[in-house]
Amino acid sequence: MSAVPGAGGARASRPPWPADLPVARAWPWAAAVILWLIACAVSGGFSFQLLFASLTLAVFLALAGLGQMVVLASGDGSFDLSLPYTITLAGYISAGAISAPAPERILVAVAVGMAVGAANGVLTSVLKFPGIIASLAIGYVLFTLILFVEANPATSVSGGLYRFIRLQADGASAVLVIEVAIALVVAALLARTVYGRFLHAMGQSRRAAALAGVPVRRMIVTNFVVCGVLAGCVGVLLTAYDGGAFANMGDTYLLGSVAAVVVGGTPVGGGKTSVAGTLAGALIMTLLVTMLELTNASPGAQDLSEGLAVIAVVAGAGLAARVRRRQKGAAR
Amino acid sequence: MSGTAGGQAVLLPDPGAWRPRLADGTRAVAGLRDARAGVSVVLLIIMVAGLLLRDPRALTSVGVDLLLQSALPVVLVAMGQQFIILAGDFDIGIGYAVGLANVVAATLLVSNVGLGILALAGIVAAYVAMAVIIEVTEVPGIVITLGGSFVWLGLGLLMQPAPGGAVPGWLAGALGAFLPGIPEPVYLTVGLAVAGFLILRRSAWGAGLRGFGGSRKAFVRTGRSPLAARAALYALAGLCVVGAGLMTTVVFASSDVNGSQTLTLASVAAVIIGGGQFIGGVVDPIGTVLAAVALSVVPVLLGGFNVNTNYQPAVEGVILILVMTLRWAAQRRGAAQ
Repeated sequence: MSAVPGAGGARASRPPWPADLPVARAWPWAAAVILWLIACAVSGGFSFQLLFASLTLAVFLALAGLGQMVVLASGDGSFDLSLPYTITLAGYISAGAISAPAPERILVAVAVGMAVGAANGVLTSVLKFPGIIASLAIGYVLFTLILFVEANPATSVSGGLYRFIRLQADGASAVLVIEVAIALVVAALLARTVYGRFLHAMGQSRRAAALAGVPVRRMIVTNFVVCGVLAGCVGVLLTAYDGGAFANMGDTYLLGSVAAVVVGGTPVGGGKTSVAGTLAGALIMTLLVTMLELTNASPGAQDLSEGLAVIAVVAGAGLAARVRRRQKGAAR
Repeated sequence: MSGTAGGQAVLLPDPGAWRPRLADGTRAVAGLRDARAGVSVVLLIIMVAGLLLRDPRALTSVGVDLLLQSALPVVLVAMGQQFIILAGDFDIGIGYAVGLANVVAATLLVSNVGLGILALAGIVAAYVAMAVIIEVTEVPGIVITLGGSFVWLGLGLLMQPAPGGAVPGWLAGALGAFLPGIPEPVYLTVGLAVAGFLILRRSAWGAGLRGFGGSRKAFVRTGRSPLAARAALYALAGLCVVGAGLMTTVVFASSDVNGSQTLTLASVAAVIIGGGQFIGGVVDPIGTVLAAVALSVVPVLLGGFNVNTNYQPAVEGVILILVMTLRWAAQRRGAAQ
C-alpha cells in the first residue's frame, strides 16, 4: 500500500486500497438490486418508481453514513453516537428555532454540527476519552438542548429550498444530485488530499502514522468535525425535504448510518474507506426499511424485523470480510 | 509511561494473580483501597449531602429503603454493562433489554410462571447469542448490540404495545424474606457489590475474564477460548438485565418497554465513574455499584430542587465528562512525576 505520508513528496497515483476491491465493491450493489426485486415482489409489481423513491430517501442515510465512515476510518473503533441528535438539532435550527433569515439559519445549523464535531474531537483526542463515550455524553447533552428548542415552532423552511429539494425530472431528483456532489467531494478528500492520506495511515497503524509525522490529534478533531458537518447537512436537507423538523427525526440514523458503513465494506479497524460502498450500504438499509413498511406490520414487528435484518446483514458482511482476510493471509 | 495506548495504561493479564501488573511494571492496588473507586464514593457523598439538604429524613431507615429500592435497577444495569465493557464492547441496547425483561415479568410471569421463566432465560440466551455472533463474525460489538436494541424494543412492543402489566405477588413477597430493621434493599445492594467483587476480583475465573478484556492475544496464548470468555461475560450481563427487569417490575408494579431507556447512559456512566476503563478490561465492581447508587439519586435531587427532570441525561452526561476529565488530569500529573 502506497499511503505513506511524506515519502519523497511524490503523489501516489494508486488509490490507498488493495487492487482486489472490484469484487468486494460489487457485491453491496448486487445485494441492493436483489433487495429491490424482493421489495417489488412484496408490493406486487415491478417498479422503478420504488427504486428511485428509495434512492432519494437513501440520500440522507448515505450522507450520515459517510460521516460515520470518516470517524471510523481513523482506526480506534470510534463511532459518533451523537449523530442522531446533531441531525435533529440542526433540523430544528434550520426550520426556525432561531429567528434569522433562512440562509443564515442553514449556516448556523451546519455550524452547530461543526461545533458538536469539535467537542467530540477534543474530548477524544485531547482528553483521551474513548470516541464512543465522548459522543455518547455529548449526545445526551444535545438531547437536552433539543428539548429546549422543540418548544419553538419549527416549520419555516425557506420556500426556495423546499421547491428546489423536491425537484424531480424523470426519476432523478435534486436530492440525489446533492448527494452525488457531496459524495464526490468526500471521495476526492479521501483519495486525493493529504488529509485523506493521513487518515488512511492513521487507520492502518496509529503508532506508525504518529511517528511518520501525522498530526493525530488534529486529525481526530477534523474527522469528528467532518462527521458533524455532514450530520448538520442531513438535518438541513431532511427538514427542507419534509417541510419542517420534528422530534426524534434523527433517531433512525444511528443504526442506519453505522449499518450502512459496515455493510458497505469499510473495515471497522480503519485504514480503508469506500465511499461507493457506504452509498450502497445506505441504499440496502433504506430498501430493507421500505420493505418492512410495505408489509404493514405493527411497529413492534417492524422494529423486531429491522433489528434482526440489520444483525443478519451486518453479520453476513462481517463473515465475508473475515473469509476474505483469511484468504489474503493464506495467499501470502 | 511505556506501553500505553492513547495515554491509558494497558493491563497485562496475569490470570493467577490477585493484583494485575500494569504495563509500567508496578502492580495495581486492588480491593477496597483501590483509588479507582474513590471518585464514586465522593460522588455518593455529594449526592447524599444534597438529599439531606432537601430533606433531613433521607437517611432514616425508610429514606434509605426508598432510595435503594429505586437504585437497585440502576445498580443491576450498571453491573450488566460492566461485564460487557469488560469484554471490550458497549451495550447500547441494554436499556431496551431491561425494558423487555420488565414487560416479560409484568405479563408472562404473572399469567404463566413457567413460560415467563422460559422467556427470561431466553433473554440470557439471546445475550450469549450476541456474544457468539461478535466472536465469529468479528463485527464490532456495538453494531450487534445496536441491532439488538431494536430486537428488544420490537419484542417488548409486540408483547405489550402500551404500558401496563402487574407485579407477580410472589416476586414482591420474595423480597420481604430478610431480617427486619435493616431494609431489604440494603442487603441486595451490598450483596450485589460483594458478589461482583468476589467474582471479578477474588476468583481465578474472574481474573481470566479480566485478562480476556485486557489483552485478547495474550489470553488466547494461554490456551483459553475467547468465545467461552465472551459468552460467559455476556451471560452474566444477561442475568443482570433480567434482574434489573425484575426489580423494575417490583419498584413500579407495572411495565413499559420504553421506560428504562435512560438506564443505558446511567449504566455506562456508573461503570466509568466507578473506576472502569473502556479499553483494557478494567472495571471496579464496588465502584460501579456505588456510582450507580449515586447516579440514581440524580432524578430525586432534580425533583427535590424543582428542576425539570428532562435535565437528567444532561446532568449524567456532564458528570461523566467531569469525572473523565479529572481522571485525565490525574493521569497527566502521574505521568509527569
